[in-house]
Amino acid sequence: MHAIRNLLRPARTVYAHCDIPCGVYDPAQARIEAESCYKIMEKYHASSDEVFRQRCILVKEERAELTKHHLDVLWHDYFKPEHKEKFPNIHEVFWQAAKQCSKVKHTVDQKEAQKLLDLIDQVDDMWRKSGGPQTTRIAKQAAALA
Amino acid sequence: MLPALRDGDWLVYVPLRGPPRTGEVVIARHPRDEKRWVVKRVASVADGSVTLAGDFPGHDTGPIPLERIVGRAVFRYWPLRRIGFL
Repeated sequence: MHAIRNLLRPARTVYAHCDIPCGVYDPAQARIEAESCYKIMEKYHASSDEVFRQRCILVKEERAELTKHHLDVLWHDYFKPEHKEKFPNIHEVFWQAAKQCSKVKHTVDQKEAQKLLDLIDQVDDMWRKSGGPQTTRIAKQAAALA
Repeated sequence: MLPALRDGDWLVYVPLRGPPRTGEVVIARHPRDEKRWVVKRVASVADGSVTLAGDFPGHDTGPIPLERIVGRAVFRYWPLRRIGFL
């Protein structure tokens, strides 16, 4: 039986779950990582310590990649086809934001990091207008009691 | 994909001949990870894109391009007690 089972074993594994379906989405995650990029650039320029500057570059690239990841999750998992009707430029904004993450990776120009923050704010605006704060976040205790 | 598919089910899939139909179980390349393949049910088919969903609420992929569909899952051959066409 064991030999037959081994013979029949599939060549490839496929997955039924794309992400853990927690349903919590917030552009704040992307913004915090992008703010890190902005601040790290500031520290990079203020320092003359080469080792520190190298660390800044490494961390900035990690944070920019995380920003891209959080934007991707929002794009693919939170926003749905009906949002395209409400926000006709939604794909353009996300596409530009993803490209801007790459730009932030290979530069220490804070203007580029600011552009990324501005694009994330546009995403945040769509998230708010689509009811994101009410449908995807758990209210803070203070807000819930107010 | 519960209840239709369970973790560890072994499946046979066939390449697509024409666009998939709503309700079919298909194998697709993950929208963000080329190496990862997923098995999902077709929720809707639009011009050049397919929206896939799991049978369990919340497991949706959103619309993905038609060319990301690898094939149609047709038959479960393991475990033997659940053998049969999908």
